[in-house]
Parts: sequence; structure tokens; C-alpha cells
Amino acid sequence: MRKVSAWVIVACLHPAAAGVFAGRVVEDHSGNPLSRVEIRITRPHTAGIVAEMETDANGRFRTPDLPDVECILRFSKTSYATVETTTRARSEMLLRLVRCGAIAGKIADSEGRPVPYAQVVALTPSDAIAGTVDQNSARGEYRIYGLPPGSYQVAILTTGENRPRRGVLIYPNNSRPRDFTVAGGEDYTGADFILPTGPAFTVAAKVDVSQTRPPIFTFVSADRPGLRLAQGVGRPDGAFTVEDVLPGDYELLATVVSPGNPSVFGRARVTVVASNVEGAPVSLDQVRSASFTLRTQEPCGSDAVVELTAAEAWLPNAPVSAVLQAHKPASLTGLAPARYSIAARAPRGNCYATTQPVLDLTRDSASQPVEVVLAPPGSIGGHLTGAARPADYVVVLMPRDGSLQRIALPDEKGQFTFPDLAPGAYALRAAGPNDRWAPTPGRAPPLTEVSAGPPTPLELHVTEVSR
Amino acid sequence: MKLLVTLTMAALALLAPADAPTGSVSGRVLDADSGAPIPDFPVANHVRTDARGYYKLTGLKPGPFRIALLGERVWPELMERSVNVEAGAELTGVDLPIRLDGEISGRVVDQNKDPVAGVPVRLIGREYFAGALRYFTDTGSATTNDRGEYVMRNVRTGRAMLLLMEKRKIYEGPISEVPADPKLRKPAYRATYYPNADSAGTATLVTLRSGERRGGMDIQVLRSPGYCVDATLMLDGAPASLDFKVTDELTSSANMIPGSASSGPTGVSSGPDGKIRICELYPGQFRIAALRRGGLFPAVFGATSVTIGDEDVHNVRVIAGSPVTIQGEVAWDGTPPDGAAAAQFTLQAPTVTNDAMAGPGSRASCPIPGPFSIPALRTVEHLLQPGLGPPNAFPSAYVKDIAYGAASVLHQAFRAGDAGTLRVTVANDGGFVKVSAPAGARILIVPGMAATESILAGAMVSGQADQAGNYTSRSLAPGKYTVLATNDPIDQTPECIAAIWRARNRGEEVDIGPNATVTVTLQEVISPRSDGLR
Repeated sequence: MRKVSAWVIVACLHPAAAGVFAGRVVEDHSGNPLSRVEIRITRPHTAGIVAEMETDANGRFRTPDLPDVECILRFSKTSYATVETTTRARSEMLLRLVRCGAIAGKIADSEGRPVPYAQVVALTPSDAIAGTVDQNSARGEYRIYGLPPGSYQVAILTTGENRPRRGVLIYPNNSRPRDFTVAGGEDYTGADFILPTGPAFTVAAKVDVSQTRPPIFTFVSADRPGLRLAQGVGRPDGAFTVEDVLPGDYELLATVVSPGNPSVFGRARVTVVASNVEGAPVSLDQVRSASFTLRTQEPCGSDAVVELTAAEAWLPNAPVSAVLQAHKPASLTGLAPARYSIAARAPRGNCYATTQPVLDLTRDSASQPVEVVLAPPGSIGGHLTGAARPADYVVVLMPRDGSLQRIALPDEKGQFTFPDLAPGAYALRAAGPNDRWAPTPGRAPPLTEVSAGPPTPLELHVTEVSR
Repeated sequence: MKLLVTLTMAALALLAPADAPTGSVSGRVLDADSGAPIPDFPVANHVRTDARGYYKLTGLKPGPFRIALLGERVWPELMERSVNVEAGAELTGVDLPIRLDGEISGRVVDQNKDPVAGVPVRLIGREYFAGALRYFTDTGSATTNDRGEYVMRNVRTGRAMLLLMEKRKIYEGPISEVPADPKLRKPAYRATYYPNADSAGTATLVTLRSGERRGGMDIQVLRSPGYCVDATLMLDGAPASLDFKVTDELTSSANMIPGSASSGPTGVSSGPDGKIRICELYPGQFRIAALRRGGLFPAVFGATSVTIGDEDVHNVRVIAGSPVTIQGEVAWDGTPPDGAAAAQFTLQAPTVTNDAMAGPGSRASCPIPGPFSIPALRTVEHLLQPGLGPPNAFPSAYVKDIAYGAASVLHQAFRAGDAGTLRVTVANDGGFVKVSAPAGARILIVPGMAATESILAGAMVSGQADQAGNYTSRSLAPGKYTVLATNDPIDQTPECIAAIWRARNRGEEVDIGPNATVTVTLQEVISPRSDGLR
């Protein structure tokens, strides 16, 4: 199962013996000790692992004597959120790992019979498929686990083995989907589906182009175009058929790939009501392009890589990328008319490449070049105020892109540092040893903009309630 | 559960035209273990068994007819039944015993009984193959969920197998960054056999009855200090950038048996210096393979065994190479038969590896007598599978021996070395055994020279009597044999071979002379219930 990002609470109760990392790891929501938590200790910007170990049956860990330098500690355990922190040696650390959530239920027909071979998934708010599905098709049971803190909906995309019925069915119904919030350790049960009875229909379409090569196509929900309900290869005359489609609104995304020529893209919106859809025309759309410029600062070199990934389930769906050089605009052409997420990276060194997160080419090509900025890392130099014992707190840093969350350990004066950050916006929160953090959709902590170069100052205030 | 029993394409071809005289076949589909009839079972596209397990196939062309059970849940030892269809007649009582798939479930826990999530569990089969008892991945696998639970479906029933938890190897690069000091490493997960054994020899075997669902099969994982191996991948005498793969030699020692599979992923390529460092290994025997792909199969391949004790292993050299050409020669033993100029010899040499990486092996053919050559990898065992042709042209011919240097490699694993030429001897003095036995019985012919169970497994001949109880062997080398009949499936598992070994003195002994035919009537059919063949 993939490791996921989340957070821990660390309370440093005492100064450490020089060169020793030691402490205890417990489950956040229960306080039970966690055994076999893997701890990997590395040094910033240095290859190799300094040490690795596991917690014992009581959740305790202690390294042998290590050089007393700043290290990165990464704590991971399957089904728990992974977290890392950068610190010098400390002892008697208390870590609270957040357990991933789970959602379970049954899938049955209207007469209560188990429905085998249903494709059930948990979806993030951006329709990314999350977690791992454990499914007993014969009994119609499913369990999705490994869900990191966040908000999810559960959906069935197809049902049946040889003739799968296609259509997005969200629990408990499409008009009022339920959001399952995972803060840590939730184990939802009873998310049962009763599949609707009624006929399914055929959608026949044709790419309106004289091509000798057949189109490859995907069939997606109009509301959730990232979810692929069917895919295939059409006939050389451009025609293709999708069978067993439930009533609903859909989009057909077609691509004709011809060696030596630019790909051709087409899309069509289809509404299935109560009959087959015949001869739906898939009109061609012009290919899109986008240009990029690179702005760089010393000592970050003069090149970067930009990578575009379509949010819609086009085929082929591999990311496309370009190498950028300073003062030399670069272009990506032949792109599908899609909405893309953009990622940029610096090929070497400690610098970070940043750019806008999304590029929408559904209507037209990009009118302006997209700027990629290559800059040295930033950092946060923070001060925790309002706490009687700041060293009992932990500060959690949550990148907006959902990547690995980090923690910092304030000292007795409340000073804390997050080094080596990609420039960008971060949410931060301070948590005491008895706090639990529950994500509330739409109520994220305020963002702090971190610039490249000198530390970004931050004062983080907590209000303690006397007991 | 989905069960399919279909006719083979060959059988379908025997369906008669509408106006031709036809015959029919009927019987029951039965649970092989309980004998209970299985209702509503698909026998052909439009024929299912009735409530009492009966089926009837009609419109069949007269002649030999083979009912082949090809469903994914119907196992090879039960898959065929040959009958002889007669025009205008119904062949009744052709019962088809099948084993329904099983299910195994349980948890994987650590020494504190805490669940171990995200680890794979699989079944390991054991069969004699290429002259040795080997281990391979059987059907049935699962991964534990967040509660450490697993459910393994589609399990082959009726066979003793090992249940194994083996954590999948993940290579983060050619050079592991695990600390050099073993005291700074986390413990490794050992491959652990049910219930908590570190070797196949001390594990508890698991045998499911047909259709059985067995729960509570908990495995307590074993841990040990983790060790590292540093090695250099070599090609043509120099370090080279090659792909590599590490496997536990015990958990999957062969890949040529149906149902087997590779036991792990390939690591990323080494650098030009050929250096690799692999860690998180536990005490045991591992095999490091080096390869470079050339299409679907590796263009170069090599492997070496490494034994991990209680410390790291250094300076291992894994030498990969292209296949070498082995010269061979095939000749008649004694006087060639009439028309010998048309005789053809074929030799297939699939690889016997534990990593599914070395490709399908090679093939050669030549007239008899004549020279041939095959490509073979030096670091990999091959199984030599000879054949004679044209079909039915030389019914008394058989391959008497394949010698490589001073050793016979007939029925044995062959490894290319410096022993010179493969010398194949084909004889034409083979005899036959004609057996009369109960209808549908399986016939075993065991050579008297089989001194061990392993040799018996490679040299025994088996077949099935038709509905009239008749069976005729293929050409056999002159000598003494024991002939037995059984209703049990015959396979290469150690349990089955051991039972045949024990039962061999209860069969009919025959002495086949050159070009002779011996007739045997077998009244006794060895039964699993009374004789323990299973």
C-alpha cells in the first residue's frame, strides 16, 4: 500500500543526550503504542541513510550514538500517515501517528443479491482515486482502506464482469453524495449500494474525419471527466461503440494517433436518457499548444523541466514534458484540448521550480507564456506565542499540493524553523500534546506565502484554555 | 464462483454435420473428493448438468472424442477424459470428477500479534521437475489489508501446498543506501511459511478439499537482522550496466510448471561500473540474476547463488552472457529402421529458472543420424525435451539416452559447460504394453530401474484407459516395468510420487523384450481411500 502524507504530534519533554534520537510513537486517536513504525534518519542534501530502525512492542525507539548534527527523521507505517521532521538529536520524543481511514459496505441489486465484479473507488475532491480496495466480489463486500486525512466520496464506476454496466454511482445517490471525512482512524461501515434496476444503453459515435487509423477513445462522466468508464479502439472509419451505459450525461474523448503526423482530438457530449444513442458526431477540435519561459536566480542553473498532465481521462494519458532554458521560450504543441495540471522541477541542485498549478486549454491554446520560476529554497523562521510550555507543542506544515507534511519542534522560547521549502503557500498549525486535528472541508488554516532565499518570519499564536 | 467446462477446439471439430450419423455421451459431473453430483454445471455452451448432476452431449461425430475441462478452476490433473463415440449409440456413465476451487483466509501478525498490513501471501507448490523437487508459485495470492487480513481465492484443492508470506523486494536504486553498520539497520522480514516456519521443510503443508473455505490460517512473520550483498555485474569479462533481480531460491525454484510465476520485480539498472548493493536480505540462499533485455526476453543473462549467513557478503560477481552454442549429434542405436532417411529428431531446451527471466529456451531439429546445435545459457539449467518424427512413422523408436560428457541428462536438468557434444541415442527396439483395466482408469508404467522417487517421477509413463478399459503405451525401452491402475489423478507432487513409489510392488511386473508387446490385465484399481495415493 502506498505511504501517504499526514502529520504527527511531537512533544519534546527533555533535552536530548547528545547524538541520540529516542522516543515513543503512539496512535493518534487511541493513544495506543505503535510497534514496527519504521524510522529512517538521513541528513539534508546528503546521500545515504544514517540509521534506520523500528519501534518496539511498546512503541519505543532509540538510536545508537550518532553524530550530533541536524537530521531528517521520517516515520512510516503501513496504514498510517507518513511524516518527517528535521531536527538535531532529541530524546523522549512523543509522536502521534494518524491512522488512515477506511470505508466499507456491500453492493447488492434491488433484490438483495450480491453484485460481483463492481469497480468501487474512493474519490478525493479532485476525483483522484485514493486508498486500496479490498473486495470480495462473491459476497458483494468491499472495504477501502489507507485513506489519508481528507474528504472522500465513494463511487461505483462499472458493475459486472463480461458486460460491465457503466456509469458513475455515488453513495448514497448522485444528487446528494455523502462526504466521508477522515481525520484519523475512522472506520466507516454500512456504505451499502443498492444498484438501480433498469436497462442500459448503447452509445455509438463516429469521429468526423477521414483518417486511415482508428481512433482510441475514452468514455467519461460529464461531471467527473477524470473517471474513465470505458476505453477502446474504434474502427478505421472512425466509428466506435460503448455498450451497457446507464442513463446520464457523458463525454466521449477521442484521439487519432498517426505516426509522423500530429494527433487529432475530438470530443462530444452525450446524454443517455431511455434509448440507445446512435451516430453521435465527435467533432474535431484543434490541437492546443502552450509556451513556457524560465526565470532563474543564482545559484540555480539555467534549466528546468515542466510537465503537463491532463485532468480528463484522455488516451494516451501520459504526461508531456519539456526542458526549459533561461531566456529561451519553449513550446509544447499537439496537446489535447484538456485541463492540465502543471508540475515543474529543477533537474539538479537544491533549488525549486514553481509555476501556476493549472493550465486550462479546453477552449483554446494558451494566450500567454507560462512562467516557470527557478529559485533557491525558502524557509520559515517562526515563533510560537501564547503557550506556557512551547516545547510541548508541534508545528505542522501542510503544503497546498498535498505532498508530504512536515513538523517542526519549537524550543523552550517557542522558536521553530522549517528549512528547505519550495517557494509557495503553506498552511501551518500548532498542536499541543492533547490536541487532535480534524480536517474540515473549506476551513483550512490561513496560508503563509514563503519566498525564496531569506527565512520568512512567522508568528503563530495559540490560545491555551486553563483547566 | 465461476466454473467452466468446455469442449476443446479439437472436440468441437468432431461435431458431426447435420445429416451424418452421430453418437452421444452422457454422465455426471461429480465432486472429486465427496463424489457428490454437481448440479447446474456448464459442460458445453448449451448443456448444463441437471439437478442430479447429469449431462448429455449429443450430435457427436463417431470416433475418438476428448472432453477437456478448460475452466480456470478445473485443474490439469482432472482436465481430460477420452471416449470413443459410436454412431447411433449413447455412451453412458462418462462421469467427470472435478475439484472446485477453495479459499484460504487468515491474518498475518507479528510476534506481538499485531497485524502486518500490506504484505503478500501466496501458495507455493512442490513438484518433481527436471530431476529434482522444485518449488514454484501456484495459483492463489492475496495481500493483507490494513487489519492484516487476507482472503486467497481460486485456490487449487486436493494438493499439499505451502503458504508463504514473502515481502516484495523494492529497489530504490542499484546501490542501496542502507547503513554500512548492521547495528544501524532495521530488521528484515524473512520469508515465512505457515504458520511461522523459516523453511519449507519445517512448514505445515496445507491441503484443501474440493470447494473448501478454510479460515484462521494465520501466519506469524519472522524477523531477522538485515544483511547486504555488494556485487559487480559482468558482461564479456568486464563490468557492465545491466538489469538485475534477486530472489529467494527456496520460495520459487522453477518457473516451467503450469501455474508458476515470477517471484519478484526487476531492479533498476546498475551503472557502467556494474556495481549493485542489495540489502534487507535475511539468512538464506538467494539468487542474483543479471540481464539485459533484447525484446521480450533478455539478450544476455546470468545468475549466481549467494548464501547469506550472519554478515554482509561482499565482492560477488554475477557473470552474464549470451547463449553459447552447444553442438549435438543424434544417431541410431543398432540397425536403423526401414525408411530411416525420413526420421527427424527435435529437441526443445526450455530453461529451468526461478525468476522467469531467461526466456522460453531454444529448439533444434535434424535428420537421424545427424548433427544439431542449440543455444544454451551457461548459468541456467535447461530441461532437454526430445521428440521423434514424423508422427507414427517409427512407432518402435524412442530416445534411449542423452549423454553430455560422461553423464546422462535424459530427464535431468542440463547445464551448458565444457563437456563437449550432446550425444543422443535413438533406438528402434521399443516395446509396448497393452493394458486392460476398468474404464477410465489411469494407467501407470513405472520402470524397474527407477532407483529413487525423483527418477521415478521423470521416467514413469502414464495414460488413461478408454471406456472399454483399453490402453496401449507408447514405445518403451526394453526392460522390466511395473504397471498399475488408479482412479486418482496423477501428478508430480511428492505426495503422489511417494504413493506410487510405495504402491509399485502391488502392480503387475512385466518384462518387455525388444519390439515385443506385453498384455496386462489389471483387475485391481488402487484407490486413494484404501491405499493412500493421496
